[in-house]
Amino acid sequence: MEKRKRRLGYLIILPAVLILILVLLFPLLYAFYLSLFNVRFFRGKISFSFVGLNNYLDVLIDRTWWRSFLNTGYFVIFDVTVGIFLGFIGALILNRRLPLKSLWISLVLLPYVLPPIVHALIWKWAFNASYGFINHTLILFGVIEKPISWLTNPNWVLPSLIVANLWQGTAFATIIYLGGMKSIPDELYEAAKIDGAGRIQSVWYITVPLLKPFTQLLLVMKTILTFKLFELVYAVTGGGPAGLTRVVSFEIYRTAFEAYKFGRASAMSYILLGIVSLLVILYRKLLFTYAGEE
Amino acid sequence: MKKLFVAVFLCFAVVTLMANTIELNTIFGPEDLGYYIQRNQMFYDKTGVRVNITVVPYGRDQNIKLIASMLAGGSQYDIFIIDCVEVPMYVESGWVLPIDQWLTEDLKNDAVPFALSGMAYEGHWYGLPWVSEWKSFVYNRELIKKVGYTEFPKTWDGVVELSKKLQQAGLVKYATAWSWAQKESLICDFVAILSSFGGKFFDENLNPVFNDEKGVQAVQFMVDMIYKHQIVNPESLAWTEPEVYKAIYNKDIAFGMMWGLPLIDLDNPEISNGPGEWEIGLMPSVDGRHPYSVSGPMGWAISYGTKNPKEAFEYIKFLAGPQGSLDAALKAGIVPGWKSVWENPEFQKTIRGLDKMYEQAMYIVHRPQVPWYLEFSSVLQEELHNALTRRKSPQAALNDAAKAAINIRDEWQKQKK
Repeated sequence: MEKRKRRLGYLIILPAVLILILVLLFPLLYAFYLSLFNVRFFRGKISFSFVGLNNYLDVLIDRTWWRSFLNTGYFVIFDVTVGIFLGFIGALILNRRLPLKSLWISLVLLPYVLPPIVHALIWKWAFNASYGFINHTLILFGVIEKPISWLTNPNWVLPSLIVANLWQGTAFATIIYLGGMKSIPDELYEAAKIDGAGRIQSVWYITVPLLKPFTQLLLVMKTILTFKLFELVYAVTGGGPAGLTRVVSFEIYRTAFEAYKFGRASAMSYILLGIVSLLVILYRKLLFTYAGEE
Repeated sequence: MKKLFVAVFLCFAVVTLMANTIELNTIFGPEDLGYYIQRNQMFYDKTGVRVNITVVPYGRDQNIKLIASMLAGGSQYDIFIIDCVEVPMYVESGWVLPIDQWLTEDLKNDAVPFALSGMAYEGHWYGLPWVSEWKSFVYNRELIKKVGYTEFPKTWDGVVELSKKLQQAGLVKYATAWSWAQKESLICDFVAILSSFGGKFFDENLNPVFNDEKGVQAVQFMVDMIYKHQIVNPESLAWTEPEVYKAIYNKDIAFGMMWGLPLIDLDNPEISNGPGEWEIGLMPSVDGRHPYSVSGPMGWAISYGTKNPKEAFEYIKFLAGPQGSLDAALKAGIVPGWKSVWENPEFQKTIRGLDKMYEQAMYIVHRPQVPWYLEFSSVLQEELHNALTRRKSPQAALNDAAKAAINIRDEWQKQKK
């Protein structure tokens, strides 16, 4: 009877497993296969010439790739540190009794629900030195005297894009933390209050530790999502000026769909996958704790 | 029983008829969709061939779907719009059918030279001209009149002088702006400026020559326009065409370059601040004798995997042949690639400035027609930006781009073998 039940269970999940294999496992394996070949289209045929790990070696010694990687690293560091911190502060504020609370929550949600390309175009106009609202506002309040070329000045362009990325990244962190805060029982805060704990102490000793699983989730999610950053760079700077804002996903896209080097682009994807996986493992080893470990 | 028999027979007849209907599939962006639907219906009424459209959100989005289709045999889309810079790559990959057998001498003679040559590669033709655009030079007649000019200068030196006068008179903060973001638009502008200095990209053996004296002069002039003469809005380094157009519509600048039929929008008071004030001019040049601008023609091409090549050509001829182009130009403002349309009185009446545009059409240069263009373009964009942001000298940037071009070319040729 037990065996029959189990068999039925397998049968029921079989279609889902098959679909997962088809849409997840197959592309993953096929991309790895491609990464070992030089793929060429010629006279209506695709030719594969085996190059072993050469595509990987070519990428690893390519300075452009590492420069893109470094640029992406800046985005990740800021999104993981500043983004998570600001998201936490935002969630703390929104978790309080506020007038028009739903409106504030909706406003915070807005950057997150915007399609990435719309998000990018909004910031493209915001940073426009001649017509953008950032320069306009800063000049209006006397912070600066003349417009700053946010997107053309080599010193400003990367920080500008990092800020634009944080706008969406912070919203994501706020939503996750807000959900986490709702799950903390009020009794804990009430007991702390009776014991004489102030607001900051309550946050430090109750909210922060209980939100640790959410912080861990955010660390992993934000690292993965930010390494995939594409639309913002594609639409706002195209990697410029002078390649200063190139990021890895953009590099992969260009290699695949502009240079038509699918083997090399697949190798790039696998190198990125390896680095991100390594980071996640590092997080797990260094930062994560599980029930019973503390 | 008899009724049942008749019903079954009718069903069978309808199914047979439907099975015999030839269908062609195509893919493109949402621009002018209504026009295409209307024309496709007319084609169906005329020939019984149905054309189905897959619409992608943005024109360039078609490329990934097209490539996927090509890799799967090329039968998913029978016909498609191809950009001039993609022709060599598509031909080398074997994704597009030559149309030589259908391209009559009459058609060849009627085509505007650059529009048809943009669809050619190694002596064969691969598409009928469609949206045969180039970048037109536009200037504000009223603004330059205020500083004593009745005609736009023909030389770059003259342009610098005029620009300074316009700025000194406080008429504009910057005389002009360009689409010099690190994107394809930068290459388009560079092609025009390089040609206006008498330079070119490659020699007949595909060795780079854009880093010669003329190329360096051209890039140095671009740099000088920003920093020395300060006549270009420095934000141009982050701008593509939409931002430049906005500056033109606002009259924030006095001259610039625009694709398509610029005066349609520039004369429209809902879009432009200076309707009736803008004119089409010939591109200025270093000596007034090289008024070259850059091409961006497209064409209707036929997939190598189509099962109905004859019908596919019939369709593209219906849509993009001289008669079809006239219809498209009149009803949808699509720039024609046929002399007979440009010389048609009905078309000439539609907008002013067409005579000047047609004059420019004889001085048009293509971007390099090589199968590895897109990869090269990406490298050149970055090197030009290195020069324009003064991280490298024009000579060093162009030399590095030339070195990269040789590597890309050699790698391509090695793989081809």
